[in-house]
Amino acid sequence: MKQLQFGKILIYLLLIVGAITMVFPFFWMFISSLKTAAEVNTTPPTLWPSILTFDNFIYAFETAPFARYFLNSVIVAFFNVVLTGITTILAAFAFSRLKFPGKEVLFSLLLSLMMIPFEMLIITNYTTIADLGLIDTLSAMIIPFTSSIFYTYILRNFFQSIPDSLYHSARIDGASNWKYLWKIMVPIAKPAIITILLLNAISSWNAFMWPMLVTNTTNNRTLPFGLYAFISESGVRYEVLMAASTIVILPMVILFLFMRKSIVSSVAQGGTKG
Amino acid sequence: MKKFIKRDIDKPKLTIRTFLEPLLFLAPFLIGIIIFTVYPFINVLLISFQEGYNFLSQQFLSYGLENYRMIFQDENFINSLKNTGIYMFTVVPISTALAIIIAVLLNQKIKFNGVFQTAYFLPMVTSVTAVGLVWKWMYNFDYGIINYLLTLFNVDAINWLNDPKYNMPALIIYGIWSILPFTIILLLSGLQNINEQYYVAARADGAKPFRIFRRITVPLLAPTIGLVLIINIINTSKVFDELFPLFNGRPGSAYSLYTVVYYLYDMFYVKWELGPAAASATILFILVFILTMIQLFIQRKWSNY
Amino acid sequence: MEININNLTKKFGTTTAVNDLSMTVESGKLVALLGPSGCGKTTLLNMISGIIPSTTGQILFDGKDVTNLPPDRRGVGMVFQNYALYPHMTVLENICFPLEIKKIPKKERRERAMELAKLVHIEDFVKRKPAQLSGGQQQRVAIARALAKNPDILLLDEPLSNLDAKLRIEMREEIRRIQRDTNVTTIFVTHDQEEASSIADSVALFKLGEIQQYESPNELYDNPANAFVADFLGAPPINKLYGVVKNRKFVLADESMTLDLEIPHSVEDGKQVLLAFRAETIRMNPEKVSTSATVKEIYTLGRDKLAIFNLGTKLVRGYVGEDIELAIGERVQVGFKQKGIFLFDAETGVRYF
Repeated sequence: MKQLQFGKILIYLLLIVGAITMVFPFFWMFISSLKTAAEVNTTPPTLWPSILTFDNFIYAFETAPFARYFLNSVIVAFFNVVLTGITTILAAFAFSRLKFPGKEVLFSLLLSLMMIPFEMLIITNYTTIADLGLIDTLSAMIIPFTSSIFYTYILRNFFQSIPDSLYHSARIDGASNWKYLWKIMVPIAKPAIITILLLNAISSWNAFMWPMLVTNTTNNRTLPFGLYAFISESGVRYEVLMAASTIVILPMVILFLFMRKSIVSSVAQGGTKG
Repeated sequence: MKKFIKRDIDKPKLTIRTFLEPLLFLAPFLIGIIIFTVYPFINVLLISFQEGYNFLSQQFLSYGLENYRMIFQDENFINSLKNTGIYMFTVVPISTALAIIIAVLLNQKIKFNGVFQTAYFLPMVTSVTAVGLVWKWMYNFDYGIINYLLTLFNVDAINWLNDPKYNMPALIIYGIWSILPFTIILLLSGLQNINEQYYVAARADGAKPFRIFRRITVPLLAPTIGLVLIINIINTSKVFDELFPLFNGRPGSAYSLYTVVYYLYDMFYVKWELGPAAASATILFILVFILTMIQLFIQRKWSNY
Repeated sequence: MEININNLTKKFGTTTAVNDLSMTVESGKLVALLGPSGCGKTTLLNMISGIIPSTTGQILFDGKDVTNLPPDRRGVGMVFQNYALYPHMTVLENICFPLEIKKIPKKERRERAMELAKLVHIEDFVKRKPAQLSGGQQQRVAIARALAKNPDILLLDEPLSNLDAKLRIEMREEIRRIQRDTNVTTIFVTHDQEEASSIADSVALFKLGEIQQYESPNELYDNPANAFVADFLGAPPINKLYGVVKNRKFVLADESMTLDLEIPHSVEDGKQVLLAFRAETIRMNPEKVSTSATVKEIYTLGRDKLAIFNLGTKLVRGYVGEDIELAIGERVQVGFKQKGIFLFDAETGVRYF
């Protein structure tokens, strides 16, 4: 009995140490953002600001157009989610429910395309976006990402788990394929669709490399690249930088606190089956 | 249910309806894939083999291995392969080992599981760039919290970001932290798929916790571990976003920390050398391709577990 | 609405599920498609609904060719084996769905749905989701939904197979009642001969994609077209004795018994035959054809007494009147009534009498 108690305590101890390590950077970011410049640059560092200040946030918003970046990020994420959502739902429906010649071959071909790293494609995609005259526009961060094989694959699997009889029943009730998709299949698949859109929003929000390549002017930056550009343009003032980082990270943290279970389960699913 | 299975044997007749309707559903998706995945993929392969650019006609004269020859003679590219290799083969094993321990602990019947999970998984959804800047601050030579903690243990402060010797360790530590959540999630879901009865039986046989871990958990988790290793090797082979904020967009303080994707970015975006950029992109693809084949092989081999 | 099926065939790859089948379902009738699993009855139903396209042949609704129409344009209602209720909709929304598709005004469709809910006795549950209903209630909803758009034809695919025995009897009477009330031409698929016989106007008995017999349940029982029909219908199952014809008499295969049945001359001597007779056909102490039998076992089933007799070396079942006293091991004389005894060709199943 005593040994059991000791084991339990050890488990909690290890978990707590690990958890603190994982969360510490976020904690440190937030604490630093609330300190004055003088307090940030002192040794030993203080675990809690002696003078609590929100000036760093105000300064960040004043020196760089973080409000604009934030809005851009929201717009880009929104259109990414809506457009990817539509193409994914339509394609997943065709692959799970419609009959057409060459379906299986086309699908396995698409799955094999998932192996291609996006980094490989930037060279030509950049040229394509330039040819379309979209360099330094928000569209440049939306248009290349309207179709996702991975999300289509996940949603098709979910659609396939919906019994055939519901489809036949709806058809007999007079519904066309289109009506069936939007009135029956999509409402039933709502949890799966929401999770996919959530993952999509997260990756859109955090995207760094591509937005860096296709945006030149301050007006069209999204948060991560805007944040990065902030240091090269205003010099390193860590208390301000940490305030800016907090602005970028906070929305995702809030999202994660509310949707943890579905995010985690879809990551687990996608990881092991994709 | 059974009666509908036959339906699939039934070959669809090719009519306007069976052809046009699926096409309409697929068109928006396929257009995106063709323009932004299929076309650039083929195009990059072609570019990588083009050589002998003629400035007058603005055309390439022939196809050949010139670009590949060039990058393999480029010290930076050789360096990038080496660095990517070092990064992969330190980050992946260490993070996997740590993740196994954490996943096993999280899989115990513990209180506050939700709180712990939130703490461990949070870095997965946060911007690598923003968090990278936080690490940059923590690595700061004079006022960084990491050096302060080292002095508490009587270790001299390390110039993580400006001493080329410590650039790689700094990147690796951050890399491990950043890849852990994903790794833990996969392993935890693997653990949860292990039938409870094995543990009950082992405990009934009087096995001690560590023995249960070694003789039951590890062997049954082996397929998941294999999968996690490969997926993470694929992911770490593309290391770039982690590198960029730490060193102000440079590949390390002395330009010694090139990675394959950084080299690709550098060739393409900074130097505008499309041929070598495409060649390095193709090398990256071949790397990922081989790793994916290994992954599929592992999955198939273990799928009957 | 009258349904005509002309030379309909369905092939799945190399297997033929329905083979050159023709039948007519008269308007307003309740017809059962009966048969063992894999006999093609569900395939036929799915071809009538339009879920499965036919390979060759024709389906006519009131003379109109619907063979190539998709399901949404055939105007049929259908109840599925697992009910196929839309899980995200309430009962009322489920019943309203076909009307919603038809773009009928909201008020009107709610009124119609409530009417149907009353018809199938689920008016108290219309606000619930399907998962909150029992199997029988779900089935009522499925029927109401199938009837919502006023179909000319109602199709039911094994509608009772997911219910427990007591509910099954209750629901089949409900289906009969609802069909009578609405007078909709109804086809239902079942593998339960008792279910088919009890409520259908006519029963089409299937075997390997072909109709064996298509007549009223009584005709099928009293006048089976072949050995398969005789064997498939009736509980307890019909008694079967294999033997040969000798001098117009039936001789059991191992010659342990002979019956003087006055077999017609058309059946040659030496022909291998199957003698089949129902349990209620056995008579005690008959005047005519008789043979001796030993009582092996006696079961009392409510009012009836079912005895197992040794007839030659074979065992047969027979009902005996409640006034007749029997003892196990007793030797008795048994004979047969005119009705319910059949002779078939042992090989082809063709009936001689």
